[in-house]
Amino acid sequence: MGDMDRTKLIFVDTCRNLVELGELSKEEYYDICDLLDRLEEYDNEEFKAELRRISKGLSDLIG
Amino acid sequence: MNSIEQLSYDVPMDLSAERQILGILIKHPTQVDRVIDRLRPAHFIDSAHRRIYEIILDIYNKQGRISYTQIYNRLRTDSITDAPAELLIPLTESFVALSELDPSVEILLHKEGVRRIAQACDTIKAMVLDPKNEDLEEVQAKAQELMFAASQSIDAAGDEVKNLLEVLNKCYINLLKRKEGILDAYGLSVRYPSIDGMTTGFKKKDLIILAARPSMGKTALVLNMAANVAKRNIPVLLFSLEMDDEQLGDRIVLSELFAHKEGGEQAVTSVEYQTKLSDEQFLVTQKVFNELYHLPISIVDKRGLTVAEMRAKARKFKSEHPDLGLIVIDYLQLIKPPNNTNRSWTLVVGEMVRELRDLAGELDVPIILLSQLNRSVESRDNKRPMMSDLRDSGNIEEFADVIIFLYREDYYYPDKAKAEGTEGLVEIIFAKQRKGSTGTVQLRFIKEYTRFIEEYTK
Repeated sequence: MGDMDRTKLIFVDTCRNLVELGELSKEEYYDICDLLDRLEEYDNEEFKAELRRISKGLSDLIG
Repeated sequence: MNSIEQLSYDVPMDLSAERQILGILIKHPTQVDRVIDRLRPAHFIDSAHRRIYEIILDIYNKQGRISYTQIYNRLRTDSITDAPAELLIPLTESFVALSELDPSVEILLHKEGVRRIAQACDTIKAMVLDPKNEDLEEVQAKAQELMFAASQSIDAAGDEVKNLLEVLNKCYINLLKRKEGILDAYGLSVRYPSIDGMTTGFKKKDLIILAARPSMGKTALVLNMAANVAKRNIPVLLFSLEMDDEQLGDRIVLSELFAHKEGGEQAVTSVEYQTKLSDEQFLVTQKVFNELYHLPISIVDKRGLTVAEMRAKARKFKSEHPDLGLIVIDYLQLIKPPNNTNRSWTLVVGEMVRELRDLAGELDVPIILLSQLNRSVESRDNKRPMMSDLRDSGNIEEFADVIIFLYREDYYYPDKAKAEGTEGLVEIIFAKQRKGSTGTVQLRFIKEYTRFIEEYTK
């Protein structure tokens, strides 16, 4: 449980830095935060699909 | 961000418990309801933890759902830190079982309690060593107040909500005690059946105002009541701002001498007591002294006491005598108002009365506050005091739980009283009782002995 939360935080932190670099919009960022908060509702494939819908660039980045 | 404030001593804290609580609350937001009335942000000594707790409370109140990402974003948007992840990652590592919540809360409450006492000690030390504070008694009173406030349970808020079962249990225990004669009927009996009949005993936490014009017998009545209470080994604390301890002592002795006279023993009049006694009278008086020596009545006879000073003394007395049953203050208009107040006399008096009512609640004891009525009573035909006579005294009727007036017809109309046989009769007028009915009862005042007696015993 602690590992998952830590991973989420690192991911959010990375996304936030991407916002500051102009690689990610604020809307995309908040959608990603919302997705992470509801992570338990998705399986692996659903999560990837949702992430791709929010930001194709980020989805491609993390594979 | 500097997380921990710089203080002069090693701050008692448990950062691990702080992290555990925050970690649990983020994972189990509904648990906020369990801690919200027990933990304030100030219980978290680490300023980052404190801020995170504030954010948790805010998010939970607005949304009911809490997550690390929400807190992350709040820390960032509120510009609390540039690196929120660094603050939050340790919390994810400290997450433990839900059952750890209560013990961790207890640890924070304990640490906060220790910090408060340590802080009070620091303040007291600085105050004591400050050469500007020359009045030792004032410093002692302030020190006592600070220490008392610091030692009050910070978890007290948790006791505010009581279920009916808890309340009824207490009522039932009292009922059993009354049945077994261990507890006075409901409140504190003053052993005047007509007064007890009206009040069913003075209730703990109540402020009772006993008001009258001078010479009506206010002090005599409360001294009689105080002695009656103390005879059952219930401690009484008496603040006398007018009479000194010897004057009060003589009055108590005189009052008891009357009881002995009525019991058929050698009479000792007030004048004889104050001058010279025969051997037989001396023996009777000595017997009275022996009976009174053991009574738990304590007297503070200092003039010009403030409410704060009386509060400090009462708190100390209560800590030494947890079974304190009654406090008497003689009288309101002689209490010294606080310095540096620009408010009107009416407001100042009202504030002092409110503070005394709070003191009764805090110490869980009835307080009888004597009050002198002004001359306006005498300017009308019917000189019986009325509630409106208190209006000029800071609306004290608002704060009092019980208001009693004394009225003696023979004081104003001696010839009429003589003709009607009402000499010495005193009307005890119950003008207000928050928990009882209003009405009037009568006692007889034996002035030369400063003794009130039930009329039927005459």
